[in-house]
Amino acid sequence: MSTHHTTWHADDGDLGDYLAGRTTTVLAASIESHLVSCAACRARLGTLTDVVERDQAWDRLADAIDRPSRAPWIVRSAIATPVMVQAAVVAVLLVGLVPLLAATAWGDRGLVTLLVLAPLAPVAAVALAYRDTSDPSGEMGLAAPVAGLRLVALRALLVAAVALPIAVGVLLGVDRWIGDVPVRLAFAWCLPGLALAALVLLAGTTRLDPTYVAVAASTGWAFLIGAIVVAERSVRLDLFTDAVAGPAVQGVALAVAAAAVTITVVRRDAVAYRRTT
Amino acid sequence: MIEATDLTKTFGRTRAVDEVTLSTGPGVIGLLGPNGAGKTTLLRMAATVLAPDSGELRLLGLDPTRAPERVEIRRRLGYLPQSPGLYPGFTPYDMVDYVAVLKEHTDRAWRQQEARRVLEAVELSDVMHKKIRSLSGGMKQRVALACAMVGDPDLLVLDEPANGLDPDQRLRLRSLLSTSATVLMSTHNISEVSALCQRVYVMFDGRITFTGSPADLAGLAVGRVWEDERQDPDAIRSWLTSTGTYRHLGHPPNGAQVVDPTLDDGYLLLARKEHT
Repeated sequence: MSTHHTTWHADDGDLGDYLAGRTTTVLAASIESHLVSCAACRARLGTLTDVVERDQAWDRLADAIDRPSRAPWIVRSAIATPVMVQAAVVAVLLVGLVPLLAATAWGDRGLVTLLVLAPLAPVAAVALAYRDTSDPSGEMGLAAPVAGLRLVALRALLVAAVALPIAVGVLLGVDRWIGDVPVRLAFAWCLPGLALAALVLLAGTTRLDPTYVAVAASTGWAFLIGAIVVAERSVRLDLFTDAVAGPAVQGVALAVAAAAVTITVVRRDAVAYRRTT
Repeated sequence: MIEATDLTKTFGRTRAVDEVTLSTGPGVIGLLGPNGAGKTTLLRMAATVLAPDSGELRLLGLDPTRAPERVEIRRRLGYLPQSPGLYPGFTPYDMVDYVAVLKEHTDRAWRQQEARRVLEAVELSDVMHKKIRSLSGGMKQRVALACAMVGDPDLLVLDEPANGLDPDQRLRLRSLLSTSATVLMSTHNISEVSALCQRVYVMFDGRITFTGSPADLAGLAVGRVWEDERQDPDAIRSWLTSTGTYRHLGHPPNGAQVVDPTLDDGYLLLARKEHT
């Protein structure tokens, strides 16, 4: 602030009106520019300020700045946790980008790649999300009332909510781009993926390392795909789609997913949202 | 507040906590012992993070092995882990707010007041909107402490709470804890125990080997400490003090200048007994 000498001073009435916001815009601008250069009027302005009202105004401002975010806490924690972000990115890459590139480069064979990889996306996501080192604040979370199934379910749903729409969207996009992609292909992998992820989730929140369970589940899936290749002696897309979308694979997947989720819920009292060692 | 009977926890072949029995009321209770003594495992059980393999544990009069009671304990519990990882992208304010939500506080206005209260208590109001990644180690420790204090819990379980704090902040911690209901804290720092704790438990190899007041612990070494200008090869331990004289622990020889024992003397004597 300048302290240049001025020849006039604002009167108390005008300063009071200015403080109360009752002056015209022109007068307010004039007073403001005068206050910049007149230390005496600035000092007088200070004496006219209602201290209580000023403090209340500051409190209101601080309240507005400090108000807790409205964003759901689970979203906030996921965004803040690098491994949760990593898990979602891996899932999206596996079900989105890789098959998209493969389909573009190799056509039908690329879409077979999708069927092989897509169910592994939720497995990878769950395995990454529930590693012991996933959540830096995990130890504190374990001692909170929401630790347990609620946190497990919420985080699993969050990763699924990110990956699933992207995967289906990519598939439908590929359908338009390349053509001749059976729409059911876009959904055929969902149940196997759910079953594998539910198994990892069930095992991973107990005493087993989710990474090992994920590897075992993925190996099982690879064996199934291998069996189809051997049985059909081909890697044709329609054969794969028929096999994976067929009642046998879908039925088993549904049963496994339902059983894993049921067991998790039944033993919810023993479920920690991550392993404790 | 905390009642443990024959509490045992084993990892592989290691008995981290070995038939520990303790009973505490309100106040600050210190858990003293060397690295690997089982302090952290015991605290994790008291924080409901780990379930004991055997024995009985009651926290705030409730049984943590029963799910509904465990949730009730967690509502009334504050926990500072040994490595309280924080989200580096959060601000202290966000972090405290997040922990408040984990503790089921859904009222935003309440959370706002509470976040301000606990951050003020640990003197972090000035940096409450800075990213945690930009804070010093001591500040991060205080953020974690603020998180543990959310909701003014009936039971505070603190694993090395003074880690990373400078002497000034340690003093502040003392006054903070003195107003809390029940605090179970582990520490390496014997001076913390004497300044803070009404009762102290000493652990070696998973077992509680001493229970009593800090004065009782110092009392173990009454008549066993003497000072001399030379080292004494017959002493259990001898060390040079800041005054230039040697302080000895053991059986004083005839004519030795026996001095009043400190808490360190009592602890060192106990440690020696445990390892002979």
